[in-house]
Amino acid sequence: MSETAKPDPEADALFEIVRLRYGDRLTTAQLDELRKIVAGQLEVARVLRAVALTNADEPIQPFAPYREESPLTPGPLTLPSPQRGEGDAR
Amino acid sequence: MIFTPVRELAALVRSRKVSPVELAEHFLERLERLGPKYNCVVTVMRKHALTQARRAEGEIAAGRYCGPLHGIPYGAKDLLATAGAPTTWGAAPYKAQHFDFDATVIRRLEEAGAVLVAKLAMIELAGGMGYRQPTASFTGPCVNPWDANAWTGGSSSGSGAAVCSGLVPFAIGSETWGSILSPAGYCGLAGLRPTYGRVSRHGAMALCWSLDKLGPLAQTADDCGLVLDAIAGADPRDPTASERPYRYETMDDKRFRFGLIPGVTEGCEEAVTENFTRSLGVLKKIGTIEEVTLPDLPYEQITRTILQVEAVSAFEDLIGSGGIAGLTAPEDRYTPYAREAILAQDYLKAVRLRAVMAREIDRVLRHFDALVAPGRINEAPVLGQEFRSALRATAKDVMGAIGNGAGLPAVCVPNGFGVRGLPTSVQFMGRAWEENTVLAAARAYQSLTDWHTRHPKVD
Repeated sequence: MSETAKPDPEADALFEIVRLRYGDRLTTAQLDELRKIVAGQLEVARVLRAVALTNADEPIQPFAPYREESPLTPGPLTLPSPQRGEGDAR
Repeated sequence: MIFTPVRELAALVRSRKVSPVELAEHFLERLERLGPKYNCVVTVMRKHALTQARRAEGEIAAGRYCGPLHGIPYGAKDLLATAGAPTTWGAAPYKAQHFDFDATVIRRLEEAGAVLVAKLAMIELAGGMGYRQPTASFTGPCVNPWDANAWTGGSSSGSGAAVCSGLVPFAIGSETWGSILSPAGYCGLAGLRPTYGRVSRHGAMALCWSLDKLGPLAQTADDCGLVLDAIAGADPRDPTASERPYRYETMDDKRFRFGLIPGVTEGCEEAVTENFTRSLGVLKKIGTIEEVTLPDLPYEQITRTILQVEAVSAFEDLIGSGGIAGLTAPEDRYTPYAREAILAQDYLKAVRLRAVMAREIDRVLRHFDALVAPGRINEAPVLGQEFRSALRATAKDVMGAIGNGAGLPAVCVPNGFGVRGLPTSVQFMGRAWEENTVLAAARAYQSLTDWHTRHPKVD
C-alpha cells in the first residue's frame, strides 16, 4: 500500500485472505501488486453495492431442474476431462 | 485467391473453376510459409485438411454441393477441441492437451463442407487471467500484418492475423469481452460477436460460462453471415445454445435507425474520432442517427466482476495447484489469486444488476436497429509494451461491457486508417438475436466504402 493511501480495513482483510491462502508461493513484489488489485476490486464492488435493488430483482436464471430421459439422452452435458499427453507441463 | 471473400470463393468452387484441393493446397502453403512471420499458427492441419478437401471435391463433382462453405478452408482459434490435434488454449500448461472429439462448431463446419487447415494462436486462457501484454501466449505475440511492430489485438490474435494476411479466408474466434472485435478492429477485418447462446460452446474452452461466445472473423460482414449460418443453432451438449432458428438473410435496401451514445468517442485517439465522424456521414446515407441516453448503471463494474469470478472458478484447478506459475505473462502467474477476494455477495449483486442492465438496454435498443461506435479506441498497440498502460487511464469500453454483459450481437468493420497506418473500425451493436440486422447495417456501410478492399503487403 502506498504511503499516501487511506487505511481501508476491508481491503486489508480481503488482501489477508489472499496472503493466507497463497502467500507462501508469492514474492514480496507480487504481494504488493495483489494488494493494489484487491483494493481496486473492492472499489468496483462498492460501486455495485451502491445501486439499490428490490427483493424482486433476481438474476436471469440459467438453472433448470435436470432429469435424465433415458434412452434419449444425447450425451454428457459437460466437457469431458481432457486426455493429457506425456509432454504436458502440468 | 488471397483476400477473396468467401462468397466469391464459393462461386468459383461451385462452378468448378477452382477445386477444394487446390484451395486447400494454396492456403496450406501460405500457412506453412507465412505463418511463422506473423506467429499466428499453432498447428497446420495438412493431412486432415487434404482429406476434407478431397471429400468436398468428390461431393461437388457428384453434384452434392452443400452451400457456400463447401470446400472453403478456414482456421480455428486453438481453444476449440479437435480430435487428432493438440488443443493448447494458448497456454504452456496445456500445450500437449488432446481431446478425442470435435467441438460442435468444428463439427458443424465440417457438415457444411468447410476445410479446417489450421489451429490458430491465441492469448493464454483467452486472456482471463488478467494479462496486460501481447506476449501473453506460449507461442509468443501475434504480429499485425499491417505493421511488424504492432500487435493484432486479442485474445483471438491468430484468427485476426491469419485472415488479415490471407492465410485463411475466414477464422473462428471467441469473445468473452472484446476478443473478436479487438483483433478484427486492429487488423481491418469484419468480426461478428453473435448473441450469447446463438452458437454452441460445446468443446470450447470455458472461460466464463455466461459470457463466452464463438464467432467468425472474415474479410467482409457478408462472409461473417455465411459462417454464422453454418455454426448457429441448438445443441443438446450446450444447454445455453438457443433453439431460436437462424438463417442468414441479407436484408438488402433496408433503411436503418442508428443510435449514438453522446461522448462515445471520449478517450479515443484523434484519428479514430475523425474516421468515426466520417463514418457517421456515410451512415446518414442509409438511415438516421439519433443520440440516445443510456440508463445510469455501472456497466463495466457489472461485467468485469462476473468475468473475473467465473474465470477463476473455471480454472480453480490450475490456480489452486499453483499451475498458473507456468503461464507466460508474469502478471498471469499471480493476478488470479486476487479474484478469490471478491465476495460472493458482490458477485451476486453483479449478476442481479446484469438482469437490470439487459432489460434497460433492450428498452433503449428496441427503438433502433443498432448502436454505432468506434470499434476500438486506438490503433493496434505496439508489440513489447503493456497495452493496458498504453491506453488512456480513463478509457472506458461501455459498448463492450454492455454488449458482452447483456449478450448482445455486434459486428465491426474497418473504417479508415490512423496516423501509424493501422486500421480503425466502426461497430454496430443490436438487440439480442438481431445478427441479421447488424450484419445488414455493416454490409450497407461496406457497400458505400472500400476500406475492406485494402490489404497489407504480406508476401
